Amino acid sequence: MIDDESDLRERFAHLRAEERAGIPRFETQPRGRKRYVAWPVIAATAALLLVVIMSILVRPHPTKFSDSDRAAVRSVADWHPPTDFLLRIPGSEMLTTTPQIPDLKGIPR
Amino acid sequence: MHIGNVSYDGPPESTNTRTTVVNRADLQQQLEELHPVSFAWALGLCARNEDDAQEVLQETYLKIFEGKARFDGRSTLKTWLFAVIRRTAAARRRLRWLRDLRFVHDDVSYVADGKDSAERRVIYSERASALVRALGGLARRQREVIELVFYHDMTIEEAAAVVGVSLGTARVHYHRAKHRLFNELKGQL
Repeated sequence: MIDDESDLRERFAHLRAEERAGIPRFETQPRGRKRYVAWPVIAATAALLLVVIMSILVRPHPTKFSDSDRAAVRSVADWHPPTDFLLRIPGSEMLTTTPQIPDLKGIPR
Repeated sequence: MHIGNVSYDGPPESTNTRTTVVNRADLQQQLEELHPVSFAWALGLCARNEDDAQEVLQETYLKIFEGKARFDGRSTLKTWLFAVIRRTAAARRRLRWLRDLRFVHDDVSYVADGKDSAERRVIYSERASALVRALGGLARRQREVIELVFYHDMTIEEAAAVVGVSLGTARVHYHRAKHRLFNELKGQL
């Protein structure tokens, strides 16, 4: 382990020596390029994000019914009150059926 | 562990001792003395890219002279400077990420010198290349701690202060990094 560590130290010393050759002179003035924030790109991205978020929020969500919901709806639709028979009056079928016109063939004019 | 707050008035002290107050000229002189090691540290933080390292270093100096980074003497000047360089390099990495997303772009009309058109990288010997490659395979904090200890001859405690982690965490990073480097470099030149 000691040999490994001394080898590692020696490698780092070697690296340090090689990098020492390329050290630039000391400068305190900025040398890099000026940078600009690309506001149009940021605005376009923000607008796009806003559209996506709004479309997700505003989009109508289809209601999903479970089987138990459907069963409840069916039971309500099938229910009839026990006093329903009181509403049936004699001749009331005339209101819900079409009268049959008898065949006139064979009847003298 | 805290690194920050500085003033520049008063007598200078050695860069190896704890310094609280220095005037601008003295500070500049001390930074100049530390410039070679600062550049080497910046080079390690910038994946051995000389241009990036140089820009990181100049941004750091600018921060210091504009008073954005202040030294309060809680550590040595070198430890504090290395921490500022590290933070500046991290900010630059984030900026690069934004630039890749086209949120930030460089002024293409500005050319500081003739070397800006191509990235400059150090050319290494085979032996040094092997170490650089092995370092590249480490996690960022592991790499930082091991470089501070082996390359810059800092103690693990000083490395912890630079990286901004506890001493225990720095020890873990150090041992893991060393172990990985041993394995990577085993049998190589």
